[in-house]
Amino acid sequence: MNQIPVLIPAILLFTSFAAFFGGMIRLRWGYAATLLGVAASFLVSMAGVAHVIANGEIRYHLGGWAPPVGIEWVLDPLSAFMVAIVTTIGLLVVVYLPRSARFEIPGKEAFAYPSVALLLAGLTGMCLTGDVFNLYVFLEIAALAAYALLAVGDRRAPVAVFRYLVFGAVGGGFYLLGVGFLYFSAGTLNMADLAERLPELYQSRAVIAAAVLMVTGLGLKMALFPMHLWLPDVYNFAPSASAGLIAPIMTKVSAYAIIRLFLDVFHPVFLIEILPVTAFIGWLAAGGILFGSVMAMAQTDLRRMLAYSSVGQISYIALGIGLANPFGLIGGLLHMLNHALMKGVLFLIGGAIRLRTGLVEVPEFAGLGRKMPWTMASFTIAALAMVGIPPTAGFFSKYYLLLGSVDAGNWIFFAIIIVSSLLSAVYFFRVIEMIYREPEEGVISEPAVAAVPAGAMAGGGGHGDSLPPGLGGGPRHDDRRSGGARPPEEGGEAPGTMLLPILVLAVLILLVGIFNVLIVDRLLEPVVAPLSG
Amino acid sequence: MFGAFPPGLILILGGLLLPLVPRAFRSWAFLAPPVLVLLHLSGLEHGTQATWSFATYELIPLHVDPLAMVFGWIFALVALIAGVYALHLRDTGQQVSALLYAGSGLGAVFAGDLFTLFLFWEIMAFAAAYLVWARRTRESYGSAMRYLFVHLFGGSLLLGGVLWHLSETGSIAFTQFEATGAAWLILAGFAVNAAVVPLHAWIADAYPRGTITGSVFLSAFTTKTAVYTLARGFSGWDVLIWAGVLMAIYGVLYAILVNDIRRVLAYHIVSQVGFMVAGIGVGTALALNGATSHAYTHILYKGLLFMATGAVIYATGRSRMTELGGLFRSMPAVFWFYMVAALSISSAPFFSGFISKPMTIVAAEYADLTSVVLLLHLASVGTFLSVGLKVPYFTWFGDEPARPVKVKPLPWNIYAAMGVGAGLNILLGVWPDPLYAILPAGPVEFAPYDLPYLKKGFQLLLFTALAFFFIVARLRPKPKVQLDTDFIYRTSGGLAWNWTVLPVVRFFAWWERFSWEAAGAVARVGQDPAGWLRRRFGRLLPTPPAAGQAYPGTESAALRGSMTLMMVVLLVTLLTFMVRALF
Amino acid sequence: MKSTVGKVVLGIALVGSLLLEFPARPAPIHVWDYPAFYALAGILGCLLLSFMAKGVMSPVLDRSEDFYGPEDAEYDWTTESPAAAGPESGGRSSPSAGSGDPGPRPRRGGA
Repeated sequence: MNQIPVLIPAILLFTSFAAFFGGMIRLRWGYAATLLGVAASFLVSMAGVAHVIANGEIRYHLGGWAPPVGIEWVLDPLSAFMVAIVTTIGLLVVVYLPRSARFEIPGKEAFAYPSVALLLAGLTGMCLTGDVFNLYVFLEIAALAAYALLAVGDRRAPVAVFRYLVFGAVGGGFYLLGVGFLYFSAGTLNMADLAERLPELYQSRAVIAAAVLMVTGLGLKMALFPMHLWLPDVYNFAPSASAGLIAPIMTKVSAYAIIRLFLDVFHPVFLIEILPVTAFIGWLAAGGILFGSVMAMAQTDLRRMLAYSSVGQISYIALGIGLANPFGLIGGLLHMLNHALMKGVLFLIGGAIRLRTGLVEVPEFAGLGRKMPWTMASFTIAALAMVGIPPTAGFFSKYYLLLGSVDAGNWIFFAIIIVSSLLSAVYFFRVIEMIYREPEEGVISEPAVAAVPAGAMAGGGGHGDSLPPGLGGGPRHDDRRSGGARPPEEGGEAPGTMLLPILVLAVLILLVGIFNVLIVDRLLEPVVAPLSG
Repeated sequence: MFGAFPPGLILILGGLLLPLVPRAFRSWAFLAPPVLVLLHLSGLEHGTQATWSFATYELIPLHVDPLAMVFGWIFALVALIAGVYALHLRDTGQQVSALLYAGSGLGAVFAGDLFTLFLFWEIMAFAAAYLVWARRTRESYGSAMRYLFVHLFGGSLLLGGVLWHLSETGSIAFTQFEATGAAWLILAGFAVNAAVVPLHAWIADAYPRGTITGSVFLSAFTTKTAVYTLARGFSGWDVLIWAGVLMAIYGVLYAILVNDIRRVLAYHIVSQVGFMVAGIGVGTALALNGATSHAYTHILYKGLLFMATGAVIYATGRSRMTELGGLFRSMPAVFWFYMVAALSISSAPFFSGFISKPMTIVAAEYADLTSVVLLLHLASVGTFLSVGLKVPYFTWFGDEPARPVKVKPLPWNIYAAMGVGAGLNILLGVWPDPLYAILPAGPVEFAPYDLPYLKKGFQLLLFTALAFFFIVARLRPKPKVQLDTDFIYRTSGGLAWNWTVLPVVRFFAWWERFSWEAAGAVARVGQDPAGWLRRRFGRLLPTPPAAGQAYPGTESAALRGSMTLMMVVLLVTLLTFMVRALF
Repeated sequence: MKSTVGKVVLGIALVGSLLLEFPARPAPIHVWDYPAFYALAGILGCLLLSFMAKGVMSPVLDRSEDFYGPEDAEYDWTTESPAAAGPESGGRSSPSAGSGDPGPRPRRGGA
């Protein structure tokens, strides 16, 4: 029991090696190793959640060395919550992965499996570590694995991922600088120790600089507006399974890191009052919410639309941080879970559509409701949740954020949340309406070049416009399918291993919505307790 | 019958289970949930409550009192009658939506707290939008989406107001509101569903474009649920009197103009609901009884009107008066059913409207609201003029249309449903006591068959008819549509798009292009700084020209440029901080 | 277009309704207590409303039927089911693949 905090990343690290070597012998062994390892980590993380709810937190010292010399691993309500999200999504995507990878990145699956395990190892490590420098290490591990997984997609993916790499390196660099300054000032890297020693140092310039650097660096990794520029292209061109894995969890874990800094390293009062970081984050978030919704409305490519929508949704989480009161932060945390479920299933569905029909443009989706009923039903549930219709999960996180805005007396945020829900309704219901229409006579759902009306959609939303000339911004005919993908495999509903995770996620969206009270009470209330004081 | 079980859930569960019933029995199975609800309601006692704990709140999904019961009875009844009307329907989607819609309407009227109300409010919006969408023409798709957005917007107003109210009072109980800002916001949310002018345009847009059976359902629930919520939360608010009068007059004026027979009825709903809203505004016991009884009878006769006009459309394929006419010979039965409803809506003696609507006007008389009374009388005249005279004249009489119309036979269930509806209207008209017994604001102090009221009823209608026959030629319908307040968002939608969304999108696209090109420029300088300097500043440098080592394409240049940029940024930052730390 | 019988019936009804004025009543307080008020109200109201609607509003508000876009051609209302609705796309105008397009963009009060 005591080893749970370190067990999870350890299992996943081991899995990635096993998958790599197994994959060299036989692809199936590589996959088996991945599946077993991720499933094991999922079970352990669930056990961890149960333990935390029943008994409270677990602290584990690696190698028996006490901090500040040794590295401490902590399983408390917040990290248990995050790890549960990461491993759940990880497991579902690993089930989804083989079929999708065979279609979209044939020949490269052998690298995908260990990368997935490595990514999950990095993310869970980030969540469980109690040491700020160790967090950086795992941050970079996860980032490298993510770059690998994302760059194997479309022809244009490597360039987009390179841009992500640059942004990510800068972000990581800023964070590392901040860690350095903290170490200079406080003499320790352990979070609990820092929490004790920092209050005297709150006025020192080095600590202030550290806070700013660390938050900025993590904000870059989190794609907080306006540092989100890497995100749309990356999610657009990535293979569907990678997008389905990374979009739900990667940015969330960076947000988690900010929250961890906010609550447990620097005391809340520091980041709220002494250095008004949270207020600043709040306003950036407000801008990001509106930006994400507006840009998403202009897209016709489903994945691009989901990418801009993600920018907006991440901003909701940032808004929760920015509000800095119990309801707001609960809303932000709950939204991490909800968005992971919703965006995850949406990207996975996008992959399923691509596999069966080769389509990525929404105006061509007519008739899909009939062809792929279960998949589209899941899409409808996810879309309703994204808009925030009760009793789906999405409504409840927005509800807490609204309550948080009321508590903070910030009616502008209140209005922005409501307006953005209406804007999300525009682009999501457009898709739902399209998938349930009858296809027109003679238009079989083939990826012909769509007759997108000029002006409405073409203004910068298409593939070509956001990449500079010479970088694939040219004609789009052949880009409808990713570079190495095969022709679509006709056959009605999505394949079993892809459909199962989709359905599970859709059901989870409903269950989490109906039972969100349990999650909030048992896991999230203890997390935000420091704020009520 | 089922204890404290919310009746709305019976219909909702019925709707969700309906697809499991074999296709052959599905239309008949549709009738079962409303019957169950009627049985359930007969056993519900006033004061019954069900509570459900959620987070720190006590939700009250069932709260039974006289006001809720009246609406409950009529909702269930009309769901049954409309179900009979729709027995010929083979579209499961519509059947499920209709049950969800009726069920959420019932859920809303029995809700004891604002969160439950909000939940059912949202479900109603979606289910109703589907009934419009289900006609599956390009027009209907657009209309359904507009309906959905307008109602989601209203729902947002409601949610905002509820949360504000919650933060101020700490309570989510659904009772009479004090005049706070939060209450106004909630009122706005209710007003959207009640089709208060100027938020009413959705009704004229969507109701004529729904399916034939769908519009019968639509006519009954959305606006009446809003009337119920206004009665519960805002009775006696003076602003409602004037809003109601405005709606009453506005509705009939448009009703006289429009061409589509169902659009006439849609504007009529605005007008009739205006009477109810005004009655709620007056707030006296008589006025509230009037508004409630009016809502009850309105559902019956409006349903019958939509059923009859739906029958005309079913048989002829046309819905515009300019394309109809002379149908009396081929569809006399529908005509007589229509006239029963038309006379009811006009408050003709011996029909259901006579025992309900005048109560509201009389209440206004007692309250000495002279101008209100006169305007409402004017609206009554207009009601009869448009629904009772113009539509039947130009549909069943008048000149034959240029293109001859072929009349298809109607299924038996349509006649049956209309018959039941007509029978109930007449029954209530001559024997109002069962309705009076369940009205919420105490014993009814109104005797509709007193001489003054009979006189009023006959004179008003007969002399309006007289005038009509003199000017009938002037009232001929034209093949035109009329602009209404939806003009603002239907045409400016494109404008708003071009002015808000496109600039943002274009700016960010430009920004990305710009940053890439800047990086590329830096890269080009970085590859060959000497060469660049030489090119910029001429012969300042003595070194000979370097052998062209330009990298092909901007791609690599951009990559290198980014790296260079990043390094520069990092170094500068590091230097700055070190300098500051030192000093 | 009414037959002579109809006209006679209507005439009798009109007179009959006026006869209802005769039973004694208290002194008129409000304007509607005056004799034959409702008869006048019916006639004047009808004329007033018709004038306002057809005379004032119609010239301002009338637009051609395809003002907001092409109107759908005649639709077979007897077959209200999706299966039957499919093949009849002759009447259903071509939305052009972009019908996810400028359709749903109704913002009350501007985006």
